[in-house]
This record gives sequence, C-alpha cells and structure tokens, in this order.
Amino acid sequence: MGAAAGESEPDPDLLLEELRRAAGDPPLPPLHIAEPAPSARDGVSGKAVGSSRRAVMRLITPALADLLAQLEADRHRMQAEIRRLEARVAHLEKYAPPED
Amino acid sequence: MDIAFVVQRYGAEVAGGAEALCRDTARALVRAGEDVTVYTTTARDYLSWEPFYPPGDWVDDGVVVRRFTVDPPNPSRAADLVRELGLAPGDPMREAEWAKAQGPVSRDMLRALRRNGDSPLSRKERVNAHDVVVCWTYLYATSQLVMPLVRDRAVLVPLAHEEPMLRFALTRGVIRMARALAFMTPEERRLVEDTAGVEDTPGVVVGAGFDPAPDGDAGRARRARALPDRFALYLGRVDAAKGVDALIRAHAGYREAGGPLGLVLAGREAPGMRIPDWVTTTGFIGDDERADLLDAAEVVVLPSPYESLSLVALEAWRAGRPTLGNARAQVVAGQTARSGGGLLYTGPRTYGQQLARLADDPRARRDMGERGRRFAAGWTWDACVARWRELLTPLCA
Repeated sequence: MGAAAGESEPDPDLLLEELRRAAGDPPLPPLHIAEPAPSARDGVSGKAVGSSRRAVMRLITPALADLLAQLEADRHRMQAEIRRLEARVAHLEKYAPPED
Repeated sequence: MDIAFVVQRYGAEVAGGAEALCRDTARALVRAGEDVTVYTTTARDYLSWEPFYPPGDWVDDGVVVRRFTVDPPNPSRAADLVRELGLAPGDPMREAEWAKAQGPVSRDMLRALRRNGDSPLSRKERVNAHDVVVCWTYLYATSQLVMPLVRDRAVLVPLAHEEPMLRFALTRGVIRMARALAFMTPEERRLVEDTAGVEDTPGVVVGAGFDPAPDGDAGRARRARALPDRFALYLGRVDAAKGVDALIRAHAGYREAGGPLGLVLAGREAPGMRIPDWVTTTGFIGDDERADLLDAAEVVVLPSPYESLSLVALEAWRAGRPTLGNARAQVVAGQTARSGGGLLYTGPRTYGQQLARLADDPRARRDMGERGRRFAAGWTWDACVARWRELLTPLCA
C-alpha cells in the first residue's frame, strides 16, 4: 500500500498521485493536437483571427477528440497485433524442424 | 465470497446502463449465495451528484447498500478539462483536477473502505473486510480513488469503449492497478488490453444475464399509442451522444427514397434534441411496454457508435427481432457477427440500403431474428454468475 492508503484520512490528491505512478508509460506515445497558433498579424485584426481560430477549434474539439480516440485505439490494436504476430513467428522459428 | 461493489450510483430509480448492470449483477450474485455489499453515493444525477437517497445502510433485494455523501463537483470545469485533455492527454495535474471536478468524491466512502481494507490484522480478523472489491467503470472518482486503497484485491469492470477519457494516463493507472479485469465483450477486452498494455492481467469476459422478459403484445402497443403501420424501433436515451441525431438524418434519407418503415424512438429525451414531426416518440417506458413495442417493430436500430455491451441488441434478439447496427461500434459489429442476428451500416447510404433489405424480405427478418434468439438464450444469469466466480475465486484463495 502507498502513503495515501496508509494515512488515517485518505487524501484524494495522494490517491490520484498513486494512480499516476501506476500508469507508467503508455504502450505508444499519445497523439496530441496543439492549441491553434496565434495570428502573425498585429493589432485588432490579429486578435480577431486568433479568437476566430480558437472559437473554431472549440467548436470542433469534441469531434476531433472522438476521432483521436478512435485513431489511438487503431494504433494500439495494430501495434499489439504486430507484437502477437512477432511472438508467433518466434515461437514457430524456435520449434521449426532444422533445415537439411 | 464476501464481495464489495463500488459504483457511482445505485438504485432502481437510477437511469444508466452501467449502474443497472451493476445492480442486476449484484442481485444475481446474491441469489447464487454470495455476499455482496455495494458502496455507492446518495446521488441519482451523474452531473450534480445531488443527494437523492439518504446516507446510511440499506438492503436491496438481499444486497447490502451503503450510501455516502459526496463533495460538490464542478461539472462545467470538468467539461472544459475533458475538451482540453481529449486533444492532449497525459498532464497529471489537469487529469487529477478533472477527476475531482467530475466526481463523485466521497471522503466518507474512502474512510469506510480504508478502515475495512488497510489493517495489520489478517483478512478474516478485519471487521467488514471483503475478499474482493469490484470497481464499476473506470470513468468516475469512486473507482479512481478507491482503487489505490484496495489494490491488493481490486477488480475493475472498465465498461470501456473508444472515447477520449480512455486515453488519459489516470485511466491507464486505474486499469493497471487492478488485479483482475471483468469485461463485457471480447472487443472491449482487446481494446483495454491493447491501449493500457495489460495482457498479463487476469481477465474474464463476464458479460451480463437477462431476467425472463414479459411477453410482448403488438396489439396492446398499438392500442396504447399511435404507431406507424410498420416501423424501425430505437430503444434507449434519445440523445445525440447515442447517435440518435445521425439516425434521424439517415432515416430521413431512407424515407425520401420511398422507404416504408417509420421510426419510433422509445426512451427519455435529452435536452436540446430536435425531433422532426414524422418521428414517433414515446418518452420513458417500462419493461412491459418495451416488450410490446419490440413485438410490434420489424427492426431494432442500434445507432450508438460507442458501446461496451449492447444490451438492447440482446433484448431485440431475445424478442426475435433483427437488428441494424452502426458498424463503427466494434462491440455491436462483433455481437452481430457472432449472433447472425442482424445487419450493419456504415453511414446514411448503407443505412437506407440495409433497412430496405430488411423491410423487403420478411424471411430474412425471421431468420435473423431466430438466430439472434438462439444467441441471446445463452445470456442467462446462471452462466454470468459462473463467469464471475471464475474471475473472483482465484483472488480469494
């Protein structure tokens, strides 16, 4: 048990910290989509472009996040499938009859 | 076995697939002779977690239910954080903030489980110690905060599908901390194992069971409501998140092409849904009326792109009705392939084509319905309890 579980009063922050430690590294680096870049223009028009970009991004974020989640699942599925096939090939090679 | 369930909401009045499944499973285990204590909140609503039930202990159909109050959540902050983290997961501070803002955080529940779980006494000597603690869904603070407290005997029922929160590092921590995993379908198992890298964690596809259904009566359904002569039926929450808006658009295209089936939506309507006049809606319905509508329907449509188990598909097949499911939902696609009880569509065009195929061919409908009925017949609570025992017994040794 970690510190959070050993304290007399369970502390949500410490419990979440334990989860973070348990998470370790993901099987693949997660995909990210960055915040929209600020406009290169100065002044009012630059601010307007920047806020328009952010507004559009905010509008499409739920759909984008769903697509990313699907893509992430596909990547992991494919990587796991490759791992399984490699293990299968290694197994077959280990027990393959020796060549004449 | 002395089994604890941890779930965010619990009770007959709670609308929610995960919670209903948790309650049905708890009652089935108790009927089979196991001891089940449910740790839950006083809430009925999953956003505000406002108290609905009184705190304290209660017995529901043989299941001991312990209800605890929760800290006030911050749903608007939680929604903002989900939006941000959905595009860029992995920031531990923000993920922790999301977990607490969404909730439900119940310090009393944590205290109760810690008292039971973290003791120098042996398990048998502890008061109210449980052999295993089963956390239902990875998504809420109940599971997220309890899991580290009971990790020596923690089981997780992820109820996962391809959604942004599954990518969070915090979610990976919840999944990796479990000593065993209970899945609803083989597709969910593969998704969780691949995304969290937990192939070595023991897991069983426990699925669910069904209580005997009331006999449906199409005539009674038609006497009770003005229904189209022939129709496709949707059962569940009428919500864009369940794919209902896309279903309405696809069905509109089918009608414009001369399709003869109407569309009936049977379920509670989410705020903000715009339903055209040509769609029949019923609002929330009980089990008897569900059976009557299934008897009157020709096809049951399954538009949700996200499912960890489609109980509605099983319900339709049990009633001998073919399904038309969204192929984007891997679980629905898998269940449909395994059962042979329906067809799949990939978008509005194929929705119209497949629905026309079903509408025009009564024999195909009957054959698919019969195959589905045979498949659903295996989903009994006895079989489900046996799978739960297969999962839990090694942990209690």
